[in-house]
Amino acid sequence: MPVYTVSQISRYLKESLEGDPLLGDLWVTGEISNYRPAASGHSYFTLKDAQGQLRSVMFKGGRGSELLESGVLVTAHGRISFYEARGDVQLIADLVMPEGTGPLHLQLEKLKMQLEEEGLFELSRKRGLPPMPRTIGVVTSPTGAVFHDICNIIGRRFPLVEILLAPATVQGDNAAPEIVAAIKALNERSNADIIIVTRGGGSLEELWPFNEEQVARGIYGSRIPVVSAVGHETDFTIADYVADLRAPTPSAAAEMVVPDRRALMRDIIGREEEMERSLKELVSYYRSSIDFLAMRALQRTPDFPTLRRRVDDLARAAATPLWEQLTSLKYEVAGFGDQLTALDPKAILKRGYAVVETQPEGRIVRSKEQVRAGQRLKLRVADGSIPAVAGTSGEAQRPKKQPERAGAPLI
Amino acid sequence: MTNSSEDESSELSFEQAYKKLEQTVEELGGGGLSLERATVLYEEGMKLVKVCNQLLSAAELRVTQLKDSYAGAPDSLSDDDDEQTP
Repeated sequence: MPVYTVSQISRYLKESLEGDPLLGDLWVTGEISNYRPAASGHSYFTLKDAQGQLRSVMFKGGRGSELLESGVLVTAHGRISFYEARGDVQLIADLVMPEGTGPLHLQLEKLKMQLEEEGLFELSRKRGLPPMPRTIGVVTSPTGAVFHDICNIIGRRFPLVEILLAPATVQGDNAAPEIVAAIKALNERSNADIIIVTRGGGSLEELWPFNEEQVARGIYGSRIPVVSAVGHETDFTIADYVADLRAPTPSAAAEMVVPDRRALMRDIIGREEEMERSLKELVSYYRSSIDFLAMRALQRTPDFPTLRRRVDDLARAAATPLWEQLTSLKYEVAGFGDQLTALDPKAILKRGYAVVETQPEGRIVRSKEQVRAGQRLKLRVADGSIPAVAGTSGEAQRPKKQPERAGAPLI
Repeated sequence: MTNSSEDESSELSFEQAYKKLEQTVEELGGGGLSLERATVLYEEGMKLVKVCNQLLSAAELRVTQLKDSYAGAPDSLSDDDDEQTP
């Protein structure tokens, strides 16, 4: 007859309890009593019913811990463990739901919890959608109204795409494997830029395939970004949590995956206007440069051939037929040439002005300070020059004078 | 040369034409261009505007179905309906 030590038996109990498949993953329903939240964030409580009690703990971060309160009826998920140091059997709960939650909901919450812990819902791995897809794969029933609606909406908004249907049953036992196969086929055998996985509204049971683990993993494994649109706005399925983007309804999904043609047309008009604005700005920039050059031309010996060539170039560019909408600008640019012609000294002289030079140095007189009384001068006019001598009167003589007025008193 | 660039732009997809248009508008707005370059860009941009508008207004939605069965029970694909209850 073997005699065991306490620790041997404790170890045996622990291994028996924790190796039991039922006790390792179970739901227990009961009333919470003796609820004691600890400073560590863990919660200790007892689950009881008329005949029994079960010590329980929920570690920090457990789901549904906000429901914990003495007197509340709950259904808790977890595993049974044996705490050797105290000889206690306890439930380590990881999920608590209100008592009376239906079995599908319980299953859903548990799977959600597991997949979330595994990282399938990570926001950081969600991909953005291409702004202008060319091919949109749709996984849904080929006969339902949903596919028809999606085609209508996309056809109206942005008919430049191809819709590629990957048919799948969307309810019943075959649905989950078919949805998975359809996603896989689109990934392997199409150049779809986006996949919409969708079905219309229905009961929780009807939507169930979209809560199945294999569908979650199928979406998770898709190389192509997936938009989920299952049921109505208020229906959330696990597919929605895994998908790169959740659309509240199938129609909303259709609107989210393509741009709106009318908005694009407005945008294109905006760009057209922007190009015209840019060109106008550029022309006015060049015009002010020419004005600046022209001013310098007045102040210094001008390089007219270069300036005129520049203006000619500008005018030629302006004359390009595509500037139809910028005719006025074209004329403005062409007008620079005229302005510069007007600055040519010979043209100025022809209009009746004279250039006054000192003699014998031949310096152009720009100021009265350059001229003393008796200074010999040469007045250049359009057709030749007139010799002159500066008078002695105190009145200032402008260096540039009309010949007839300048000449008379001086000679 | 004009012809070849026209041919080129008429073969663009909308996405390509739109992207090129965006780039053209951006370059034109960037300043510091010669008037010749600006004129060429403007000309190209207007061509792209035309291409984009044509593509947008002429397009017709294509709807196709993935060929070959990939699911276990292809026959069941057609007799299922969203609104149907089990």
